[in-house]
This record gives sequence, C-alpha cells and structure tokens, in this order.
Amino acid sequence: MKIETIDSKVSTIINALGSSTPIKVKKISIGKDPSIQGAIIYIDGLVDKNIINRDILNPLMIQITSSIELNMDTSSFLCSNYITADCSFIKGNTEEVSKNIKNGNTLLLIENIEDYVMIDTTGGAIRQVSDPMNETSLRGSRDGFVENLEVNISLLRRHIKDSNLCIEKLVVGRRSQTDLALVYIKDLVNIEALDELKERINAVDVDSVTGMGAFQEFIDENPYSPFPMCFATERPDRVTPNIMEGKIAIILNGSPFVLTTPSIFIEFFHTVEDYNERTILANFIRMLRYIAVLLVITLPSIYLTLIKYNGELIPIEFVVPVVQSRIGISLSPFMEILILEILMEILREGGLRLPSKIASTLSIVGGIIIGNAAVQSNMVSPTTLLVIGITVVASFAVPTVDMSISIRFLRFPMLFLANSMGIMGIATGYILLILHLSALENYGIPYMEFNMDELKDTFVRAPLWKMNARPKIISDRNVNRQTNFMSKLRRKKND
Amino acid sequence: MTKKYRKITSVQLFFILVGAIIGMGVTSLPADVVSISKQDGWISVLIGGIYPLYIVLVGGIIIKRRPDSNIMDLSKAYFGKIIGNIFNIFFMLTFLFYIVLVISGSSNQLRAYSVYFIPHFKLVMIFAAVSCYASIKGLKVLSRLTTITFFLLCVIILTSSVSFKSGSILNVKPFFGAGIPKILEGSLKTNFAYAAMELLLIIYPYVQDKKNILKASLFSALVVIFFHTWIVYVSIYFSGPDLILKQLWPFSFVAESFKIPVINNFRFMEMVIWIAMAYKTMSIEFYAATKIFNNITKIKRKTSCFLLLPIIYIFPLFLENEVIRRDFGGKVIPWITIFNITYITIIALLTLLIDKKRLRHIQKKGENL
Repeated sequence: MKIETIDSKVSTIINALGSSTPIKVKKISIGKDPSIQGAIIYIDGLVDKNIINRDILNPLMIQITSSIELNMDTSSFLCSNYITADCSFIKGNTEEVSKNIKNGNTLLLIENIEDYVMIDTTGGAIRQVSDPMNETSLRGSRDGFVENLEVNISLLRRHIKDSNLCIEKLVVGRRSQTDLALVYIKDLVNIEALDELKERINAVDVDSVTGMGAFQEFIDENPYSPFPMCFATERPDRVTPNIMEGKIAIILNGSPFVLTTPSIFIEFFHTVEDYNERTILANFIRMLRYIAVLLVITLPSIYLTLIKYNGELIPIEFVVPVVQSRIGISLSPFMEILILEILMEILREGGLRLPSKIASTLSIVGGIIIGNAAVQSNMVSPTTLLVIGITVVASFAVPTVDMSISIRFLRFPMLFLANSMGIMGIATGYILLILHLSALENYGIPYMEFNMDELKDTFVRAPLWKMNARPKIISDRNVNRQTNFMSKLRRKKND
Repeated sequence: MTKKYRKITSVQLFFILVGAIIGMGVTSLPADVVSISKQDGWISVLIGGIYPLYIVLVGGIIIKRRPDSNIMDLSKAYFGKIIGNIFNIFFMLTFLFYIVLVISGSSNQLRAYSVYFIPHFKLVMIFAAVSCYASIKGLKVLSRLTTITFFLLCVIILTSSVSFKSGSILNVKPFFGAGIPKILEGSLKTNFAYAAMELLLIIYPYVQDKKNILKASLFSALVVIFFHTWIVYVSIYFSGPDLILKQLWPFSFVAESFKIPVINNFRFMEMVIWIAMAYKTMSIEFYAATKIFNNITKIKRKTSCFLLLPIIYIFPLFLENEVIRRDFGGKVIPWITIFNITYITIIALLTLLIDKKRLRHIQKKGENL
C-alpha cells in the first residue's frame, strides 16, 4: 500500500489522458463508518451511463452498508462482491489505463491503493448490423460489417467456431491509435504471408490511418499497379470462406470494410451467388461476367480498329448501315469514342454522390438528352453510341467495386493502342496486361497463376462437393477440407 | 518472393517448351514442306519430329547425370573456359538467329494480313521492345504467359477442324505418293518449325520436381509434333498441294474459313491470337539468349537484355521481304541444326563418359575460374 490521496491519483490520470480532453470525474464514498474515498473516471459519449449507474455507482454507494477494510485485496473484494460489470486490474501503467479509458472503459480509483480497476462500460451509439448497402445479394446472408471492431469480430466469430481461430490485435497510427485486428485460422494460414503482412503493418509509421483504403495503400506491395491487391468487402459471408482458405482478414476500427489478403486476381470476379446457386446456373452467370469483362476492355477498341483500319473485316451486312451512319460525322472515330467514354465516366461519377432526387434529373439530361442530341447534331454516329452503351452496361457486371474501376480504366490505354496500331495494338495491350498480371505478387503469392489442380474455382466452379482440397496456391497446410462423401451416397451398380 | 514460387513446375515447363517451339511460323510450315513432299507433307512433319525427340532424349542423359547445372556450365567444365564459351556463344547466336527470323517473319505476315499501315521498322521495334520487357520479367512470368497462350493455341487448332466439312480427302491422297526420298527431304524443311527445343537444356535446373522433367519435355515434344502434323494435314486437306504452293501462309487461309455470323470471319481473332503467339515465342527465345549471355559474361540478366536488344532490333530490318527471309533462313537453319545436334550430343557423351567424381572436380574448377 502506498499513501496517496484521491485527488493526486485523479490528477495523475488526467495528466496521462491529456489535460485538454473533456473527462468526467465523479468522486464517491464507499461503505459507511468510516467510508473510503474513491473516484470514477470516464469519457462522455464512449460509455454506457446505464451500466455505470446500475453496476458501479449503485452497488458501491448504496448497497455497501458496513465499513470496508483498506488493504491489498480491497479492489478485488469490491469487484467480486459489489461491482456487477466486468472488471480487470492494471498495476502502475498509466499509459495503458488512459488507452482503456479512451476505448470506453471506466476507471475506478480507490485512495491509498495502487491498482487501477478498469470496468467495461463500453457503449455509445453504434450503427446497427444491417444489410450491406453497396454489396447486395439475392441469396446471401443479410448482415454486414459495421464501424466497430468488436462487433465485426463477433460477426466473424459467429461464423467460425473453430478453436484455432486466431484474433491478433494491433494498433496503427501514431496519433489516431487506430485498433486493428488480424483474423486467421492458425493451422491453415500461410505463415510466410502472415509474417510479411505483420512486418508491413508494423512498419507503417503515419500520424493517422483514415480508412481502409488508406491502410490498404500503406501495406500494398505493388502500389503502382491499377489492380486491387486486397479484397475489401462488407459481407461476413464473403470473409468467412476466405479465412477458411487460409487467408488473413484485416479489420480496422472505424471501417465497415474488411480486407482479406493475399488475394488473387480471379476472386474479384466471384460473388456470393456463385456458391448459393445451382452449379450449372452459377457457371453460366460466371461466364457471362467474363464475357462482360472482355467486352469492357476491348469492344470500343475493336470497333475503332474496324472502322479506322480494317474495314474489310466488318461483316458484309453491317457495312452499309455503319458507313451510312457515319456520313457527315464531324469527329474522327477515335475522338468520337474517347469523348463518349469520358462523358460516360463523368455521368457515372456525378450520379455516384448525388442525392437520389437529383440523380433522376442527371439520368434524364445525361442519358437521354445528351445521347439523343449528340446523334442528331452529327457529333457522333448512332453505332458508336450503341457500342459505348454496351460497354457501359457490361461494366456493371463486374461485381467488385475496386476491380470494376480497374477494368474500366484499362479500356483507355487499350483505346490509345488500338488507335495507333490497330489489331496489333489490341494484341500488344493484352500481352502487356497478361505480363503485368503474371508479374504481380502479393506477400509471395502469385496474383495470377493457373495450376491444373486449382482450376476448380476460377473461370468455372466445380460442384461444391467436389472441391475437396483448399487452393494450394494460398496455403499448403492442411489442404483437405472435406472428404469425398458423395461417393458414399452413390448407388451401387447392381441396385 | 518466397522460395517455393521461385522455380517453375514441370507442367509449366511443358507449356514453356510448347510455347517456345510453336509460334506464328507454323502458318507457313505447310508451304515449306508441301513444296517438296506434295500431299505427303504431313508425313514429313511427323518424321521431322525426330529432331525434338532426339534433343529431349539426349538431354535426358544430361539432366539425369547433372540435374543442377545447365548446358553452358557443363560445356565450360568439359572444354575449359575459352573453348566452352566459344561453343556457348554459338549456342546463343542460334537463339538470336531464331528471334531475328521470328520477328521479321511475324512482321511480314502481319503487314500482309492486317496491319498494312505500320511500316516494317516500327513493327520490329514494337516486337523487340515487348519481348525485351517480357524476358526481363523472368522465367516464372514467362511460364504464366505461356500457360495462357497454350490454350489460345488450342482454340486455333480446334477451330481449324471446322474446315473438315469443306475440304476433301482426295487432297491428301494418295498416301506416300510422293515417294519416300521426297518425304525425307521434305522433313529437313521442318527444322525451323521444330527449333528451340534446346531451351530445355538451359532451363532444366529451374524446375521444382526434377523427376518429371523428362516426362514433361517428352510430352511437350509429342504435343508439338501432333500440332504441327495436324496443322499441315488440315492445310493440305483444305487447300490441296497445288493451292498451298501459291500461298505464303496456308494455315491462316484454313483458319479464315471458320465463319461466325456476327464476327464475320475468324481473321480478327486469329490475328490477335497469332500476335500473342509471336510475342510469346520471341520473349522465350530472347530469355534463352540473355540467359546464355549472362552465363558467359556474368553481366546481370536484366542488363544483358538491354545489351542484346539492338541485335534483335537491327537484324530483322534486313529481312523485310518474306521470300528473301525464307531463302536466307533455309540456307542457315540446316547448319544451326547440325551444330545443335553435335553440341548436345558431345556434351551428353562426355557426361556419360566422365565419371561423377572427376566431373565434380572439373565443375568446381570451372566455377572458380
């Protein structure tokens, strides 16, 4: 025991917290004849005041009718007999105490006792778990991540009850002190990737981490690539299968997006529905998606090549309509396509942040009036408008936002290459694209590599009961995830 | 990069070898063989397949005895540094010669088929720059590239089978009608199409599963032989030996017969795929050349890519005319083939003769030098 008045203890804590932060301090007397002096310290807005009143103040101030002996065990005695909320003890370390208070815990101080008693009173307003707005799905689950780290971890825990589930907490940002959690399954995760990820997170030395996107950029291995290297999602039912494949989930406090890493190129084109639909239908839709991607990247460039250089390759039935529609057009084909493409991107960007009431005006003015007027004023030909329209519609088929932007971006370099080199440009563009994708690596794992035994869930999806092995490309530990149970159910030939 | 992914798998070796051998040049292969062995050209191609098979089998001896050092190291160990390096320089020149032929050939064909508006020197520049960029990226990236292009090649081969409805079996009959001597003579013409199998002897130390190297490379040789035979057979079947002689690229003619309603004819897609094929072949061959250069001079491979870049840019410029290019190639290729066969056979024989203990000694000495 150390003789120290309650006032000096309070001022120590206030100094540790920073004297200019608004802090609530309430002094209390515990027990009767004689009572001992104590105080509780918390930050308004982060705590649930009901818990403080019901579980701390009420028992300590009213329910204790006798005197309390002051000794080493007083605090644990109070915790086990009177305080009904969750308690923990910290010795000496005021840094940790202040961190706990900033996270919404309440500190109980008792005069002459060295221990700091932290009581869990976390509360305050948190957004309710709800259907993720930006990633709707027809047959997936209806819960989405929220901005709170603990809630997000609990959402994942509900899906994975494995005892090897490992949740590691880290802190990033010198001033923002943002909490971060790595979630993975200990005996599945790729250890080399995990080590490298931790090394990168520990190396992050910035004032503040404002959001998931910024954090993603800090730990990115290929920051100049247009492709997303980590998979960000709002849906727990997308993170869970990824963790089950041996990937690592990164949850950042304050962000409703959870990252999974190391990611591979092809997973950005998969959706929850792929696994909730029947195999054949899911594959059909997946194929449509890949066709859409090819259309977005190449359709404008192919069209440009055909009308600019290789007119002989236009199907004979189309030649007359295409040529007729181009009579009297003032812009060159390239400028025409480029201007329309940029216009479409502007429309999309404008519509993204507009309130829904104004957005309808935008779609009328942008889509109908400009489209119509552009053709009637002979600025662009109707065929070009059709081609660009198809491209824009096809770009909506890419399920992930990050990848959708990358794919949309790619058609511009492709267009420039096609304008300068025709077919050669398109082929060169694709070769450079493939080379770039093949050269990318994410924590030692190739971004795009097709191995024979891992084709089961790439371009098409095999029936789920046939995917007995985890993708080895991500982690080669405990590869078997299921046995070939369907064979047991198969009827014998003679039956 | 983790250690696991630094080496290629044996399946990737298969793709690389097929990719190195089959390029845009196969479209002209039917014209070369049919000029001598007429309707039996496909049999010539089948016989010509002995060359890659021989390289694989002889290479098998080297791979089994010395799984960790490539042919350049062995030649330095056996012949001493100076003579060994002279051989290696010749070996490197063969690859550079292949690239020069491939670049100029691809450019000639492309200008005839679709990109008539790009002059020869610009096309060569693009080809050289992209293949230099690709080979800087290294073997692993090339293996991923060839995996994809292999399936593109399969698309072309598959679509060519559509021509079966419009061709005639009379075009390939009578079998062996040209006579055995002509067929054998024709098979010598396939040397260039089958070239670049020697790549195996440069890259085998970088394969993960050593046991499967021979299997994968044998399989790749067989697949190449099958593809080549198929290509020539289909071309003869579709156009007949007389029409083939009048074309420079008979196989492209076959692929164009495949008509899809909206895309009109297959030429656009076919051209895109052939350009991809050409890029891939050049990149691998350039990788091989720079690998040997790196082994001889110990200059970093990335730097040696830039050092050799002028060669693959300047020399194709002289081969702007397709007929001259084929004439030139026809004169030089037999010598290259003879050199390759002798070089690889001698190294294999020496590997067999010199016992391991002494070899290790020589090897160490060579490395120290």
